[in-house]
Amino acid sequence: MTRFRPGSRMAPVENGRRAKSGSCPRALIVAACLLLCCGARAALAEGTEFRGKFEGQLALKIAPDLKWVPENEDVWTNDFYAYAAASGAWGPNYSAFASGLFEYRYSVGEEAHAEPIPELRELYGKVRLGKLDVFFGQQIVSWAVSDFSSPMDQLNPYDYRRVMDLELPYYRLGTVMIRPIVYVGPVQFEAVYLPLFTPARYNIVGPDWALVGQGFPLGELVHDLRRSNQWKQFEAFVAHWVPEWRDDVKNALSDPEYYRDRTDVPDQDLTAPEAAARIKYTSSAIDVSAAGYWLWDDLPTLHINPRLRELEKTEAAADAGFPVIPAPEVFSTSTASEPFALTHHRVPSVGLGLAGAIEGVALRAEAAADFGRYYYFHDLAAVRRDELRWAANVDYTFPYDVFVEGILLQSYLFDREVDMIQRAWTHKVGVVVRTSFLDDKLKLEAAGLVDLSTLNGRDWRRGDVFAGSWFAAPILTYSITDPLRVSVGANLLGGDEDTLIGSLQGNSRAFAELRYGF
Amino acid sequence: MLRKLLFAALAIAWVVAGLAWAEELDGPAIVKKMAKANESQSSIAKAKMTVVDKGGTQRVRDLKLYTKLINGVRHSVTVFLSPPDVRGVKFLVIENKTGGDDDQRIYLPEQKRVRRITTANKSSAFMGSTFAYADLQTPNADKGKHKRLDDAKMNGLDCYVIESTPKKEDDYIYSRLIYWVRKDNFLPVRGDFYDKKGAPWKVMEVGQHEQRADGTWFAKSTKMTNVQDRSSTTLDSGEYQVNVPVADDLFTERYLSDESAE
Repeated sequence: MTRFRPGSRMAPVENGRRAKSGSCPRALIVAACLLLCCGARAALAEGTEFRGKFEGQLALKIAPDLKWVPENEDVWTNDFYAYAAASGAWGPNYSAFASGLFEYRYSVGEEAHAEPIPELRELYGKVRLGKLDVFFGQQIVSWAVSDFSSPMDQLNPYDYRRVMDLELPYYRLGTVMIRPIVYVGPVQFEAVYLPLFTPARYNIVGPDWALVGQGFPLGELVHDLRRSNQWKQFEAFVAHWVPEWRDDVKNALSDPEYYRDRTDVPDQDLTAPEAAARIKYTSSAIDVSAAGYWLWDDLPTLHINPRLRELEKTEAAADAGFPVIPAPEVFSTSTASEPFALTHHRVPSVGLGLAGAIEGVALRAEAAADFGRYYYFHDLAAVRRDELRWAANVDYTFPYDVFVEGILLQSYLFDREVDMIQRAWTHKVGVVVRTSFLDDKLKLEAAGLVDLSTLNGRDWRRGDVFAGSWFAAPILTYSITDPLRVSVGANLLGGDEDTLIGSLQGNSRAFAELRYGF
Repeated sequence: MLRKLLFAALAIAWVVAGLAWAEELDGPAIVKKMAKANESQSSIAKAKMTVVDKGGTQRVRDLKLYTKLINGVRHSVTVFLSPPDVRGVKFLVIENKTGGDDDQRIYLPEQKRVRRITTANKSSAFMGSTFAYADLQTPNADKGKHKRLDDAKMNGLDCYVIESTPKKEDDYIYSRLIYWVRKDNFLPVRGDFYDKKGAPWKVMEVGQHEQRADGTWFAKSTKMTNVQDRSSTTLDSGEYQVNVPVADDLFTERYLSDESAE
């Protein structure tokens, strides 16, 4: 029996992952290995001084949802984190760094489930050759200039399962890179070569931050596709002509394995490399950085097989209320094995960042222009468009050590058409307030963000800036002893259910965390 | 005989000249010498900061501090060695000679990022200690009015007593400072600092000065007590080397972001 094997064939359209594997990446990896060997030999030479460090932290966190609706989502998560990092340096020119994280997550929803997540975060070496530093291995690199959201910080994909765990900054994934940096006075030239693609990490269905059934755009699209006439027609077609595939197709849109096969590493041709470069000038007056990126989009695009649309046309031509199931000669059964695909695409980008200070006020701004990222129409068709995104921060420390930071995030989509889901303009404003009491033992931090993009004239006249959507994250941390801290806080989301943040408001939660550093 | 007379005359002239020189030392001159006495071309120090709150709870912070004068501009990097929540944080300050904001950058290992910052409020506590950021900077003698009070003995040492007040209110975080400055090496022995309302705020006591082989002096221990909330911080200098080779590279983002460096 021919079994319907989701993901058994690769996606048809512009699949960046199909790029050829070249000899250049291998050559560079070999070069890096040689560099490592030479470095190790020199490092282990007699008389070379070794310095090592080891550190880490253990954390236990419980986070109940503020709305107890266990259908389709978790309402209580308990996390145990163990993080450890070690570094060593052999003389002034050779060093290495490694860090790892083990997370054990026990979640309660309609049913309880446990998930151990071991992760190697970084493992890299560094060789210093005069004014040149070469880093090679799995790294996390930040090119961010601004806080909260950074358009220039594109080198490491996100772990969307942890993106709300702001208290522990483990939401970025290590990526294999070879990264030379040349320092010439106040200027540094940095190049990054990424031989292996690392996609973002996320759950398709199930937990609170899964893409399907939640507010993430991709999830909404899958949700819409599942309810579309095209998909109903498709199910009817498969049930009639290939009945043994019927259940597979029916479950395709809700089976996480379906997506996983198509997005996980083994099924992708990951030898098509990525690259980026940055130049940074630093002075007492201003820091300027400019970057160019030749990267894959770390979240996939949903491409529907165009033949599914033909099915809808068939239905439209039929008598009302009686869908016509076409013959296999008209609508091939092969479409059934490839009704849609999730594919990553190359998105070239450039970025510019500025940072300075005037009269005690720190100013940071950065922008990125992305060329040809995919955006969706309401009928789920995806087209490439250019987008400009920028972020600006202003911060000042007031008396009594009260740090206040203002945040502006905006974006503009070029050539937007009326039926597109993405707005031409988006506007978000935010604030971060941080202060401490009791000789720094009690720390308060509160971050808030309001999305103004969907507000209409009436909302503005009423002064209701929360009519769109908003996010707030207050956290209070008390140091019981230097290494032992307890935190309580909340991640609050709210607003219009049609917006991304608003649609996630069921995940608003309080949390308590105990953390021990060593 | 003639030679004896000549010698006596020279000795008297030297003493008189010395007295005249001492007489000429007014408040600003002593403050400038005090600032100079602490200055070195470069230094590497390991320090232990013990913070005691009003309840008597003790917390310890370990630091490593590098300083260097590069083209006459003071550069410093503070590396936090403990406690765990700040371990690996590095703080770079490049002094602004023109009186504007210092160039300040901080490396945050959790974020893998060097962040440009400001310390607009110099009265902010340094790492939760009794020291303010302003207390740890070299005093700018030009920003204050310095009046020499009657000399006095402090801890058995002959001292100049100087009262400093800001020329402009915002120039200092204090309304008034009184220093006891050793006559032999111009290092402060004690400082009484008053808040903006004129009330006593902090008392700085320098435990012991030690002279190195090269003739320079350093304070082995400095205690700052907040007399208003009864908290205190003691800064103990461990290994303290001055005028040793310190690479210019240490005061760059390259060093700040080096995770294996200390």
